[in-house]
Amino acid sequence: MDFLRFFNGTVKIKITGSQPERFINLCLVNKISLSGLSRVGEQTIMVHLAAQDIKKIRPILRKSACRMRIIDKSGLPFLKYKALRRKGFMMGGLLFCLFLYIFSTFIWSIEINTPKPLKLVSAQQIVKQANIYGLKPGVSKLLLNNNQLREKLMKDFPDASWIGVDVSGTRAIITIYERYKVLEKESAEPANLVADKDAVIEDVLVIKGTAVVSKGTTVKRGDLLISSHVYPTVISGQEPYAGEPMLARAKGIVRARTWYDSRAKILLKEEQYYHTGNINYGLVLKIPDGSSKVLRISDFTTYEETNIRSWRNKSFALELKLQKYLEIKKKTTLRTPSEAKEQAMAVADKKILKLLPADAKLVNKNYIWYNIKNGISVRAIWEVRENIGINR
Amino acid sequence: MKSNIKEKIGDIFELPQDALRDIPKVTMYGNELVLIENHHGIRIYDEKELTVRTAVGFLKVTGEKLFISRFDESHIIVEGVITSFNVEVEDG
Repeated sequence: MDFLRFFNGTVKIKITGSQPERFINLCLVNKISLSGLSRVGEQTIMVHLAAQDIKKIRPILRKSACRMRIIDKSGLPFLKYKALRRKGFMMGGLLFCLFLYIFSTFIWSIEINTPKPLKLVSAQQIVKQANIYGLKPGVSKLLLNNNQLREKLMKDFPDASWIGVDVSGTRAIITIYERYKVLEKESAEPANLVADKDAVIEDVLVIKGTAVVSKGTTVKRGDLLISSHVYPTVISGQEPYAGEPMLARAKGIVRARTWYDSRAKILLKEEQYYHTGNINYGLVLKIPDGSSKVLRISDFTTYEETNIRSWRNKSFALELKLQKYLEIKKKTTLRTPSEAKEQAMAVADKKILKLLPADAKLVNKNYIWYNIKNGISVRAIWEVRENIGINR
Repeated sequence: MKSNIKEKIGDIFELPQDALRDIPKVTMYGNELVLIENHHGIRIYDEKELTVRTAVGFLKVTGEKLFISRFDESHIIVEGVITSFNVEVEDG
């Protein structure tokens, strides 16, 4: 009640007249509520009334032959006028709010969060790089593209397995996780060196062990290349060593010729469907007999539909379903035979490159072409030189 | 006659009399506050006396430093040091 009074505003007035009681009774007749009535003099009373009633009392004053004087005004409506008079103060308040808002849209500090200690990368360097990309104190949050920044940083620091850029309030938090380097401990146990794949040996360099194969030997996958048996060096003129051989971990480089092949097929005329990225929403009304009525359908000519709420497996008697439509368009690609050939070659080469180890050196390339219906098929054969020895 | 019917209905349904008939209801809080409901306006008001017009006559509150804290269609609240309360039934 008090709050309502404050909200509407109250006025304290002094009524002077020969019969103030008449004024009070007329207020009653005109349904004006009064409060805080007090007699202050022979012909004077003080009355509080709602600010909106002040206009209504003028005819009453005339009827009761009283005069009125406003003593005090209080409440929100009058506070407004007071505020208008104190312009500087109000402007200050407004400016404060405005500045608070504006400054909260900037980033003021950058924090580094490393859940695990870093060994390979330095956090300072990442922050420095982030500064170069635009993340520094005083930059606007609206201009910052977290994902783009994150991707750029991750590209620059391959040793970090994950970098996150989060903005919380006016702080930017960079979270760094490091890649673990799994160090393969070289075993010292005796082992043979065997072929990793079918190949023809080109040359053998033994570091430890005894070579079993030589140039020109054709080996299959798993065949022994360098044995783990080690014999003492035979000095000329002495008898060959006849005792038991010592066992060691065979080591060496066995370069051999290997072949890789792949196939690719390219059509001269190809029809493909692709998403255009346009999305439309439709509304479907489901009726209990299993039929459904489409209230609003997509305006795409070809589309794929997906249900937005697939989590619901309980069926209601009548339900309204929102459906999402993704626009699909058909794309027809026409190629000349030479274009198709080129593309088929590129595809086949790409497939081989995926299989090739890093140390392989290309010796020869061969392509066998087949004409197929509406297109061209190719089989690519690459002959390479590589180290095929592995310990087993 | 009219009020008689109202009275009877009120008796049958055990309804409070002041809700049906236009008679005043007076509540006193010690000697410091009087609440008068169903009034018809005031006749005299000064620091020592307040006379309220009602359907049954005049209710006269006397005391010191009388102050009307509320005055509207149905309520009058008088505060102060109340010394007496009189009912003056009007004839006719």
